[in-house]
Amino acid sequence: MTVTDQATRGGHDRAAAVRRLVWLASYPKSGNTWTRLFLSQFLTGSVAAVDLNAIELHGSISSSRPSFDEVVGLPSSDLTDDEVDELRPRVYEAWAGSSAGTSFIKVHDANRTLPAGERLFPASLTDCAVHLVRNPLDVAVSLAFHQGHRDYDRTIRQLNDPGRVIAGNRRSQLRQTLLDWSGHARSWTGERAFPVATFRYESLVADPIGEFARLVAFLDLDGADDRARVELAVAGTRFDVLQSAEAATGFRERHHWQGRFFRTGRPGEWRTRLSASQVTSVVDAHGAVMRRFGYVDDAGFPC
Amino acid sequence: MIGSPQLEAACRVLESHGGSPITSSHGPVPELLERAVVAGPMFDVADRRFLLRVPNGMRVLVEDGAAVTIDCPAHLSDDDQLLWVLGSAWGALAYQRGLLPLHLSAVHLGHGIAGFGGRSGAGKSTLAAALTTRGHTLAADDVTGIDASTPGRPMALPGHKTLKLWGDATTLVGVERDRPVRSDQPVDKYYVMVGDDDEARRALPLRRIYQLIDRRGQPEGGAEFAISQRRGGEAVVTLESAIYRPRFGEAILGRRRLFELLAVVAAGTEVFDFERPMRRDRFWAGVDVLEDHLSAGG
Repeated sequence: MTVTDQATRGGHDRAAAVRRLVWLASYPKSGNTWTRLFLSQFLTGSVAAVDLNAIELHGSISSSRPSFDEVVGLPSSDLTDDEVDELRPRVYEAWAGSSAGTSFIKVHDANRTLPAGERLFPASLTDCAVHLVRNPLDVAVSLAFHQGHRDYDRTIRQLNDPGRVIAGNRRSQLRQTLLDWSGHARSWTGERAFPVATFRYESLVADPIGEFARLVAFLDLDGADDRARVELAVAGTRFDVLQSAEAATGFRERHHWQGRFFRTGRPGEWRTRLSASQVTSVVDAHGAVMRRFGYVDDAGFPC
Repeated sequence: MIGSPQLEAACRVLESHGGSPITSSHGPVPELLERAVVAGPMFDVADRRFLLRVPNGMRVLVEDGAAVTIDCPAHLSDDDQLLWVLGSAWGALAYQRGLLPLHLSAVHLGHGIAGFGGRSGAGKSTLAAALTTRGHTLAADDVTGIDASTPGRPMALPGHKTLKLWGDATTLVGVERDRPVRSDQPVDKYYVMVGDDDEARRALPLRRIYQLIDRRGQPEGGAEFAISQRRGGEAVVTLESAIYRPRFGEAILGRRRLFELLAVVAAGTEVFDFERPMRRDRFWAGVDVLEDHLSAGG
């Protein structure tokens, strides 16, 4: 299944000099790291094994605390999370202004308007956004492993929490407001001021060459029509390749409480992990958006 | 002087290494600097002037390495002003006086200083605070001014501001919270009163720098802690990451002068990577490892 929302570029002048930011947006544990690794391999045209700890993709994460501090000139740790939020668009302006080419920015935030009325991710700086979405039932499982526990009720409460935030305060990344899983997805698919293409994680797994080819075509990258280059980048970032690389060199995005960062990556794990009541809790909260992405059938049953 | 003992002490630290006396006052400050060579979202640099804007409405103008003017809403307390004056504005003041401010917390090491660097949140202040509970003297928190004018002998000008810790870090280290760092906004961060005396402000040779590195993500089976010396170009790269507000430095001193100063520090200081897991349950084990290493070099 292919899902594309607002993927056309009509009315959005891509040539505008300042529009150099591509947002790689996803709810956590939805394939963002994999996509960045793929893009890194694709853009470098590398035939070497992927280096997990040196992703050669120009751009940072939207919640980078060191970048914020450097650009703003004030320590984010002495600001409130709300004060930081209001300054974040200024940071992205600086990134766009200093970038010689396109920057690919990892984003876990929902796409939202700040209290003072400004968009967190200004259209004036934006080339486009790639939005990755994954079945929330599997996200509930993957998040639990990521957080170092197996309490799926806890991760489901997080998915269902409309006020969900991560990081911030004293943590190494700035606060990110996620909203609940549906709110997060809607915030990106509902964007009208710049192009957004949504990719299902499950489709990327099922047909990585076809889907990643579609992704690089949407981004209008050099070599996007070179099928062999897409195949090479896909081969270099297969899940078993990433698992081997992590075993050999480690991965700095892995927390000590996680066994592995690249754990299984297999869609449908929820079927053996979640109870019926847990599945119901997710479907009750997110059925409408899940149906849109093919995660529940017309009768409302998860599939 | 605006009458803050803390600011006066911070200015004395800089004045002790030459240059003009520093004055501070409240007064009107422009919202922007004209002909700025660098304009950030919250700061401008123009010739010998530096302007800082703070979300609470306060602005600080630093001129010619000698004058600090504060323009702020009447409701802001001294603490709410000094938090910013002694941070980013002090860094700009140090640059204007030809000094190299480094993002280091520091303790005394024999007749010198050992500094701890690392990204924001790496635990520089927490580590320094923990060492004070083991009898070490705190020299600096967060930023340490370096006089690198003498080749081979970089001098640390410590002690310009009070130690700040997050709430959970005060619990971890077992030190008492004195007061919140901000009264105008809720931030779970506190001043902690340790080692605040004139002796701690004496300039001493910068002997060592430990760059704190999170061992997160390392393959299983490796050493839990590792201290390894960086030499030559590697040391310079490590030190480069410790420059405080490098955009200020490049704009005020120029990139070339900034790296000349860095080279002096690299030539006169031992630089180490200190890799450790960022785990509360292993924090004190890391302090033990570091203390042993400090003792071996002290």
